[in-house]
Amino acid sequence: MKPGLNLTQFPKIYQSKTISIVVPKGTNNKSPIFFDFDSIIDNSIIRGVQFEPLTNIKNASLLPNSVVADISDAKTAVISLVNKHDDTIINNYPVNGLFIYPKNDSASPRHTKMMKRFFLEIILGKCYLIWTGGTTANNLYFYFTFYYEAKKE
Amino acid sequence: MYGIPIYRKTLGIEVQLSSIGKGAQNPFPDNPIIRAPNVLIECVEIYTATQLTITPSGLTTVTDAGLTGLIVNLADNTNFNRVFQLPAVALNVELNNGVPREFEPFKLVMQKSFIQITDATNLVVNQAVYVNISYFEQPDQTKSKRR
Repeated sequence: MKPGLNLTQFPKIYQSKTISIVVPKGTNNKSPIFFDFDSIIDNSIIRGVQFEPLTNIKNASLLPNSVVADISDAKTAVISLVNKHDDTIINNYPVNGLFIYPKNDSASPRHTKMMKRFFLEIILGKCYLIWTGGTTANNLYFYFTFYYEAKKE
Repeated sequence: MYGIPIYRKTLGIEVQLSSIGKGAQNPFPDNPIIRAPNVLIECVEIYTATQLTITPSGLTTVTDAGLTGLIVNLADNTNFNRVFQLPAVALNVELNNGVPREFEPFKLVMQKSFIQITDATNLVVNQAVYVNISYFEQPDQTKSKRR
């Protein structure tokens, strides 16, 4: 049987970088919140994106009035990834869709067992997160791990 | 052989349930990207309130329980039902062990595709089914190829 070209069993990890984006305290609208520019990501091919909630990285944020976004916060957040042509190639993707649920987590007994796989070239500074929930009580830090490989010259 | 689709481009679509009577058909909204002649879709995901409670346009998302009262119909450009009465639950990744459904790529016609109601018990009018469609652009075939 000839497997589909787009069919790969397991993700390969070349290099990774975890990046945060902040939903400021008091945000109550659906305006885009942009990532910072990152020359490494901009010059790489993104192979995987994973949301890292508080469950995974406790005490990651030590700033006043700041908390790390957890699974429940991600229920009202979507991200969009934009390429160098200003095309939004990943449009309003639910952040929770990028999270791998811990095994036997009693609060979330269902598991997203596999990492979502991508093949993207993006400009991180043009990518953004939209907060769809109510007014935020704290600065909410969303952490994302980008798995990437260098572009072949 | 099972695999995990590799997303190249995805699009978030909100299908608003303007009618929830049994058998009611709620069409997919037209979209200029998907309508482009060289765009084929390869993966469809449906998200519930467990993952996204409010859509980017501010609608409330259908719950897991509500999803069991919905079936999905996707038509291609030859009026063929590529997906006929598929339970919407089958397209929710979390409810299927984290595995997204991958399709043999086809040309989706949004205006002819719809979500149909089989049971309105856990649904509310004007809730949204949040659908994420993974697509890619086919190379331009009008250009001559050297054989």
